[in-house]
Amino acid sequence: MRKGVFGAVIAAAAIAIAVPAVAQSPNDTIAARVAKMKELGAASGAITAYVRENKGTPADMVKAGETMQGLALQIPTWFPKGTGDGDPGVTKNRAKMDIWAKFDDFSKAATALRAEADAFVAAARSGDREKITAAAATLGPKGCGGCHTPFRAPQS
Amino acid sequence: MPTISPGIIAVLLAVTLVPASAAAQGPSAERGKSVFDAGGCLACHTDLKNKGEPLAGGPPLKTPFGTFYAPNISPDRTHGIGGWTDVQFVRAMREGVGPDGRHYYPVFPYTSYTKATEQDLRDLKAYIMTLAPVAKPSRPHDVGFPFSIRLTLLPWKWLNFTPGEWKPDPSKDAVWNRGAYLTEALTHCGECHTPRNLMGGIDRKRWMSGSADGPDGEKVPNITPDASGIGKWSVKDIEGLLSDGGNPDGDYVGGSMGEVVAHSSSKLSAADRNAIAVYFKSLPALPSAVPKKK
Ligand code: HEC
Ligand code: HEC
Ligand code: HEC
Repeated sequence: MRKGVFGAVIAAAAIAIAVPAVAQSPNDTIAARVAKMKELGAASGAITAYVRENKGTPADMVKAGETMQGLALQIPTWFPKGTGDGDPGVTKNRAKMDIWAKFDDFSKAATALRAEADAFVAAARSGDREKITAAAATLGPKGCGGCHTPFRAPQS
Repeated sequence: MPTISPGIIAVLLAVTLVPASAAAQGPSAERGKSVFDAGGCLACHTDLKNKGEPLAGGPPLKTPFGTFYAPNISPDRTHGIGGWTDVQFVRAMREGVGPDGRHYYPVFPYTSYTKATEQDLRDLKAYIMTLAPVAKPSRPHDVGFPFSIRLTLLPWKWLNFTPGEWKPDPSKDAVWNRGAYLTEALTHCGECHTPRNLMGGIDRKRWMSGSADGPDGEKVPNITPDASGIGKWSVKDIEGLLSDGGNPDGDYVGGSMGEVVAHSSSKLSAADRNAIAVYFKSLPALPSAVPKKK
């Protein structure tokens, strides 16, 4: 009896590891990706505070940039088909249906964020505030805004 | 050694200075570029998504009245505005009337541009004339009856539109007045951020308090200094958003605001962004006009 439950748990875990997106309901996927976006938002918030208010250190900037490096190329996997704002049975969210009409462009926007994050981390490692500010000036608008402008609907 | 009296110097100075300052300045394409950027003409009149040529005609603009396409306003003589005189151009921008006498739909925000100075409008045209002409016909609007009949616009215009240049408020300082002028006349923030009355006109009593039917039916947030708006934002925060699209929390705006930042507000001078921010901080705080989702 006990063994049976345990086995089932292991089997479930194995499935979850193999096909994370499919194992989740669309609404769980949306909740999970919003949490991931918030991680990006927190990293980006640290950078904004450094640039605009001189808060934090270059080491903090390396960390924030690395968070983005780690997540950027994963973004397209957070958007399986059937999880858009307008898909049947899906909670209100901000993912425009255009994401799936132009999935190549969407993926390119994620790659663009990765390139921006790479450049930002290099600048942050130099420790030079001017270089960091210059890299941040394109990181946000191109890396994040470059995808939010075509693919994310405003908050409602 | 002859001496020159201060009086003569003053006369000489006056003579050399008069032409530059007192007389109206001729149109300048260079100044016109900043009017063009502030006015956000490119985003509506260019199909940016599909890499269309500049000003050769824009993407569909969906409204409750139908779908509109901003026409070709490149300097092409047949399909654009290459053959227009300055007077015709100023009349289109200020009165919403075309050279052939037709009345424009207010999707074209002449309701804001009417407040621009004569000088700014002439400079703007001079700049547009430096761009490449594109020989491409404009796409007709897709608008149902009765709005397909331009004459239905006449009562609308009569009730909702007051043509005329913006008047500075002498009780406020120069920075505030610059910000108010840019916002009212050129950057047309209010066209998206203000709710509309039943007639589709801008509801001045709820100025900048948000709108449930922005471009493509998107919700547009309250940007008055209220708790439901941007009450916590400093002047610096607003300047920052206008320069790169980043809000104080690290999120980056998207949708039509992303386009405003990319093609308009990021290209303004830092002083102009500061003026707009100062103006927004001075607005009365209003509750959000956007209904909350359930
Ligand atoms: C490849 C596209 C893409 C990139 C790149 C991207 N985002 Fe997003 N982001 C989205 C989409 C789409 C949503 C809406 C998701 C939803 O509602 O399900 C979103 C939502 C968000 C949210 C809102 C979360 C919430 O509370 O609802 C934040 C914050 C955010 N992104 C921050 C960022 C930051 C910061 C960056 C850059 C470091 C970034 N994003 C890069 C596509 C992207
Ligand atoms: C919100 C979108 C939008 C913006 C911003 C916008 N326009 Fe337009 N414009 C339109 C639409 C739509 C029309 C067509 C109106 C009609 O047919 O009644 C139009 C028409 C015009 C016309 C008349 C063209 C003709 O062939 O009769 C001119 C001139 C013009 N716009 C110039 C400008 C300039 C200059 C700017 C920037 C200062 C600008 N527009 C900004 C949407 C826009
Ligand atoms: C074409 C329509 C449009 C115009 C014009 C426009 N906005 Fe916006 N604005 C939006 C939308 C839509 C959003 C929400 C964007 C999002 O959530 O990604 C927004 C968001 C904002 C925000 C962020 C508010 C928040 O709570 O996060 C500010 C500040 C703002 N706009 C200021 C301005 C100013 C100042 C102007 C004029 C210079 C302007 N906007 C012109 C559509 C517009």
